Amino acid sequence: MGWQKIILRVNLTAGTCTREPLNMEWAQQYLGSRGLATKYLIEEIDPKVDPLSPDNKLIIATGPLTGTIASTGGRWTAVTKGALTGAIAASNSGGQFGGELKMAGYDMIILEGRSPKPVYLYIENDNAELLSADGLWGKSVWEIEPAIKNTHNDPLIRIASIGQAGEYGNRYACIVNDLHRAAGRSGVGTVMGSKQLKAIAVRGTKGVKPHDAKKFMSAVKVATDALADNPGRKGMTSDGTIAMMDVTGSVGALPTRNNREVQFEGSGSLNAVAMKAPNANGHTNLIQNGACFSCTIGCGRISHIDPNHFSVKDKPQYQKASGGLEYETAYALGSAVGVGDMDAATYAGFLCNEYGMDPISFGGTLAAAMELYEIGAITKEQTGGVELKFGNVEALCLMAELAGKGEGFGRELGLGSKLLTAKYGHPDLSMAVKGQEFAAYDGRAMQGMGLGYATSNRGACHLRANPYASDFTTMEIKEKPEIVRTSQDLISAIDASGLCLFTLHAGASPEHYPLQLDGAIEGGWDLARFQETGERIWNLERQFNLAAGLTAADDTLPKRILKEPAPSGMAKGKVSELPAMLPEYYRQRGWSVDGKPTAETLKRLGMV
Amino acid sequence: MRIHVKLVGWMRQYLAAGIEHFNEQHFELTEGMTLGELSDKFGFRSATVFVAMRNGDHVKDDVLDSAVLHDGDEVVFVPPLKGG
Repeated sequence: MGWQKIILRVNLTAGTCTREPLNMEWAQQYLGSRGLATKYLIEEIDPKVDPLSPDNKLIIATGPLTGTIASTGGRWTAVTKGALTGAIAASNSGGQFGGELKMAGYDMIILEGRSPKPVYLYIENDNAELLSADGLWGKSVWEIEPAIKNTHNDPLIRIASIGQAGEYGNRYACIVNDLHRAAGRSGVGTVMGSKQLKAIAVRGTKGVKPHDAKKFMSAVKVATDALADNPGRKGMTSDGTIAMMDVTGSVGALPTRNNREVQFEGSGSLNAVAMKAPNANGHTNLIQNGACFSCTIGCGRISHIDPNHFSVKDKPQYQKASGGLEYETAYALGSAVGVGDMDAATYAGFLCNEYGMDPISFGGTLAAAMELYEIGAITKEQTGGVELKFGNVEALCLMAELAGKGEGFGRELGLGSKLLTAKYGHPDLSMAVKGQEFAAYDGRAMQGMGLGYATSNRGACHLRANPYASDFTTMEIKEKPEIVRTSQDLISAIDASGLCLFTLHAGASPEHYPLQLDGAIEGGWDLARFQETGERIWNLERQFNLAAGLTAADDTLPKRILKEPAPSGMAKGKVSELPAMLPEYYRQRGWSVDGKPTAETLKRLGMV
Repeated sequence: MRIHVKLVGWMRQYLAAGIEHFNEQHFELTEGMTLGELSDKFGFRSATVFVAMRNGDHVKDDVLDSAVLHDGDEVVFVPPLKGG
């Protein structure tokens, strides 16, 4: 088993919910979650479709290990054509929602059409129905989660929903679950909003049965034991991902002020040490770590903001504990905009969760807007009187609120950096790939990451390739195409399995994933098959993008990274060597010189 | 000589058994000690790949044993952190 072998198909136009069997031939080829959902999407929609039209579909998918006792087995993915990018979007989240959906008996939900009025989907095991969202539309994620639980008188319902950002069409709206976890990137929440679907509320009590329980339990023990004593696991538990701040800051890979710089003088106020240290008022930002469903790592941070901080003074609703800064949010709401204020970044992060928008793209877009302002392309009149300069902490907090609500200049920020910078005449100032803003690594110091950004199927992303160890030790590019390519395939398969790719950073060996799968599902799984499945998924996503109209010209980096030398750090004086790496990457992938999978490659992978 | 050592990220997790964890600390070291010897004193080279920085400059692995430390140097050890 592992798979529940059931899909819930929800036609929002007709208001119907129907169950159908999972295509097991596809499941054996594409595994689940990111992989299997992409297969369904490419079979069911025209990739050229407008992402916000009723003809686009949104698939909420679990993997075969989601809902099991495998460590980190709580992941789920939202797959659709991205509103931010026009490319394939596969946005992964943790929390408790994915495990609950799987235990309700579903591998995935296919959402199609558009509801004539706002609704939410309520699932209780075999029963699924669309209910009116009157009274919920226009409300934030933080308001509707308790409201839905109260309506059904069940505090154990798990909810994935959109906030106001997804309703008004913010291009990087996300789907937030369990109040502060999110399928964050590429505008999957924007697509959900376009369907007038406010939330998915689920309660599942069925459990998940492995194919061979004894083999599965044994494999889970091996994999979990490997994490237990690993220094990476201990570090993630103790410090969280924000520990990366000092690493990239030290070597000069920390994007700062829209990538004009690569080291930030305020990083010491945004690191793991600062998060745990009392401030002048004796207040400590970090309360404790937090873990998602079935996770033995617990990299999440639970924080609260100093009630004396200007951002939350007289706002008791923001003085409570919630999801704190991870490295990416600390970058996007910190160094990217030149603000070294832990509590301000935490507050802006809270707003992103509350209104449902991706903090990486919000911070990246605000950074681009700040540069536009500083060069005079945006005026104070246009910003509503706000001095939109780098380092303006009040502007950060205000713009997070306005972008979340779609008010004032915040609505402009909701366009994302690509459209915003084009609108104001400086498209080169968008630090994005395929329209999606950079994550927290500069592609000049980290040559492999630059290649990873450029070739990522969903646009710039730090979760698609794993060149970290290589990038932090050498700038020599010879090995980068292979490292990026093979790690892209491995991560694709991990995402499809339903586990968290952070296990890779916490002591897991690649063999541990197929070992656990081989106990959970039928079919016979080893590392070679697992890796090939990842490669098949990567090529399927590529096929979607090519059919959507993307080309090799989209596998590039902003001019700043290709032409402007890094001003300091390991890469001082250097630019990205992407043009030298990309042809070799294509060759190794078995793609033509213009980036298209060859007939031989597709045949080898069983895709034709 | 007095050297300032900073362990960023969770580099402290790689300290050899028996060495108390620290984030940054001054050490009195013997004149002539190299960065490679300092790395071994902490047990890093047998535990993990890492990046060593001295006074803001990257010191590559193949020259760690010839990189003689000087009084007042600031050394930063960077672990192989991934993700985020």
